[in-house]
Amino acid sequence: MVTMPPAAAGSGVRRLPLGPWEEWLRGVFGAELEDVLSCLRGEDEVMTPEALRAMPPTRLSFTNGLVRRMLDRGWSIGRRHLDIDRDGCGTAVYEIEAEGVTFHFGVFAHPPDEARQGRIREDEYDFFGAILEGPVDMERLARDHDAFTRSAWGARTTADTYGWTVANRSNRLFEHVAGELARGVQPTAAHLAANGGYLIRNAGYYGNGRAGTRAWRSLPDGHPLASPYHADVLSLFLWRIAGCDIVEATARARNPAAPALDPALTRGLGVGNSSGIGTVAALVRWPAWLSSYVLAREVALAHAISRPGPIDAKCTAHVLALLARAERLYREEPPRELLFEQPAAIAGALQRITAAVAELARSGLVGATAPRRPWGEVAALAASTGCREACEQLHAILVEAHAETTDAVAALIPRGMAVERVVRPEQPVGELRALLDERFDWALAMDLSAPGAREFFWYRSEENGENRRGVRAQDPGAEGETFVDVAGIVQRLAQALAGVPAGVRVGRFLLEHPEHAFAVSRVQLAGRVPFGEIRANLLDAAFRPGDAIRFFLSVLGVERPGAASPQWVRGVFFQGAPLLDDLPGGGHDDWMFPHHAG
Amino acid sequence: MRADGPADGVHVSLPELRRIGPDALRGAGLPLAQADEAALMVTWTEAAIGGALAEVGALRGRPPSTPGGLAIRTVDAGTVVVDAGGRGLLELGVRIADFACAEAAARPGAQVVVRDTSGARFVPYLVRRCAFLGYRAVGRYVAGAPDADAPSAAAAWPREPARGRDRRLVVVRAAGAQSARAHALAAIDDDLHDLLGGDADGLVLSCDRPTAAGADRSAGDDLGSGASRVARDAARLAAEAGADAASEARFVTALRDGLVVDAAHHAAFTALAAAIRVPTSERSRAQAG
Repeated sequence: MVTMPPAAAGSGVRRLPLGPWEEWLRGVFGAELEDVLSCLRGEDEVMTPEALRAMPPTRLSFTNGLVRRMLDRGWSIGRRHLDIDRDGCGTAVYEIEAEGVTFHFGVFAHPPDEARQGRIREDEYDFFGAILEGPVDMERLARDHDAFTRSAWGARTTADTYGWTVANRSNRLFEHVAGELARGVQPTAAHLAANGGYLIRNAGYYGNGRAGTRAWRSLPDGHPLASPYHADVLSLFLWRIAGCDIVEATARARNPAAPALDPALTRGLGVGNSSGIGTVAALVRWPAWLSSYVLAREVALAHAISRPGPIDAKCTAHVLALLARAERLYREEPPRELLFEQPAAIAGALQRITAAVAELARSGLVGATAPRRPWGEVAALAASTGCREACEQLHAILVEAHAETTDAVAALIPRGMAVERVVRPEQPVGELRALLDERFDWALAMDLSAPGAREFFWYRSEENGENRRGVRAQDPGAEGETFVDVAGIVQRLAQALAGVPAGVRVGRFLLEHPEHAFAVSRVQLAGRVPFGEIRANLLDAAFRPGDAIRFFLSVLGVERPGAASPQWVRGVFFQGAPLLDDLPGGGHDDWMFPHHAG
Repeated sequence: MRADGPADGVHVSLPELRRIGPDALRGAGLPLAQADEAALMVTWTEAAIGGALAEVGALRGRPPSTPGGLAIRTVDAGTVVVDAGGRGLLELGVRIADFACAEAAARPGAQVVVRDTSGARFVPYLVRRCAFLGYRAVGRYVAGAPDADAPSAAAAWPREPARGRDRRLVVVRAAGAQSARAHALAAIDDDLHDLLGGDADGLVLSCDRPTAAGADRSAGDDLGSGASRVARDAARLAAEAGADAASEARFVTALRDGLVVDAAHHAAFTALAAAIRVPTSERSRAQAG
């Protein structure tokens, strides 16, 4: 059982640098800002691999943000074409009307390959999809499909393509569901839930500039996809919809009387996903990206924790309802194979937390006292269970239960992701050194000469350029290793700065020592924004990439994570999310912890 | 090459160049610590000026430069001479621009002279970087030894650069007065003659004190996102800090629409990026994640 510090309900954590955000947050919180910031957790508590691993999706995750935007702004998605044969092959096209912008999603379904299992290869896939600007254009879709078919990695397109995506059928469910419907019966919810809960699994998204596609940062303000990862997660949402349509059409091609899937079952289906260590390298490469999401999340949580008692009855009722759904979900989940805490233990901890919140709702007391900040006390009690994931689920629920503030803070994320990591050359070396000591004390304290401390290196494989992890003493390629060694570059910078007079400016130091430019820019960024660094030696033999992979996927919105190896994390997106019929009316926005009957 | 380039070119997006760039530059021999910044410079230069991918591709096969090797000499209270030892602006330019800004912050009117370097097409980006950091900068590139085929090889930025030649000298001048730009352009030839005997290529980059916009702003903290922020930045850099408006406009257009680059240069660029990849083996596949 893990131990951890209690959630910092005004526990005097060192004030974090907020740089450009201080005034922005003042605009959100006004006079309450200091109170909110006093409840902000520290980086030692939040940024370790163990802490990141336990963080589930929140209202701030990109899937949630996209769905909320779809509902709030009245998106409509209509199927314009569906031509699928009895083997599940053919084409489908969807037109999306979003905030005055029209785009479309074309799907090309290829024959299933039952021998395809395990790892994803981009040149072997069941489905190709493309999201293109403008009304449906079958010729353009065919051109993009042809280009991708000729060469997945060498294909090119133009700026009116938002992205390409590939996907595969679920070996366990796609044919099963098509067969059941063709027989005239519905599959059971229990069977769907026990076999992954998805018909299609994502096999890759090629967008944000790749292959010549349009990047989100090039879109005008207000464009429906001008937010980080919105096009990516839209493709996942569309696969979920297309998967259900294609499986139904396959059944109808076999039996014209085949029924449609029960909408309750359709709603419970998501889209599968498996991600590897490249996501960890991305977290390290873009510290402003990492900072933005975590800061928004932590500020939203700090706001909830800072609420003075007595707590509004509606709020406690909401929290209790979500806790009950979370506990039920964990109780239904089978044991996990690797890495993550066991569902039964999490459910048990959630039960204790639920009892505390129920007491709060009844009497206004937590642990026999009437605390000034009741949610802070509940969070501390949750920490005392020793179950990180239960604590973080409580935090996610508190963030959800304070939706209005959370949504206001969410605007920080795309802005923060655009903050540049740039050297500030005027800074005196003395200031840089102080910053280094203050913000990277965790890295400077590491013994990088200890056995195992440099065990691994990360590299790009010739095979599709994907990131892999080699053993430094055995494998080739360390000279071109992918950068993940924050602790190493920071320690080398500290050594180089040791004898430099304090008044020398960074610009001069770096002209003489350009090999430290990268480290200097990271240190200076850390002086302006918090939560930008994973506090670990990622090269160490003990580091488990799955911890950070899961965090990355939680930012996107993945549910039901599982690890088949320390380097792969799988899960499901959009289970329980709205369906196309929900969109125009703006309904069904409460899909946290969906229940699967059966 | 810009969006109106040849039909047989390759359409690329700027984020794509930005993403591949660090690996390509590492493949070309630049150290990790500088590859990221250099990739930004290459991306902007390809979009706004052209020819940057070709410049990177030309590095293929050359031995990687060794760390150090810069001779830095203070001539007087206002002048520092940096001998780059043949290392180009692709590798050192960002450091030189940053150095100029740091010198300008410390000593208004300071002048930095960089000798024996190359990569003229990157000078507009360096002017822009100074502007981004809050310094008004003007660059002037001056050809070196007389060349019968190139009777006039002087060029100033903000404006399009002339074709670069092999051996280059860069002068970076930082001045405190509001008239620094005019002063620099008027005086540079004399300076060059004084410093170099008048027979070497050169560039003057003249930096004022921080601009009004830059003085109260930390680099990269202009909160906002997306294309409108980029356009706003571009307009501000051009209007307030002396970056070239036409180049900025081309950059903004390329960010929106992508650009067409020469297919051979693109192939060489991506091949450099692939050069740091590790060959596939069964053991390698087992290490995938």
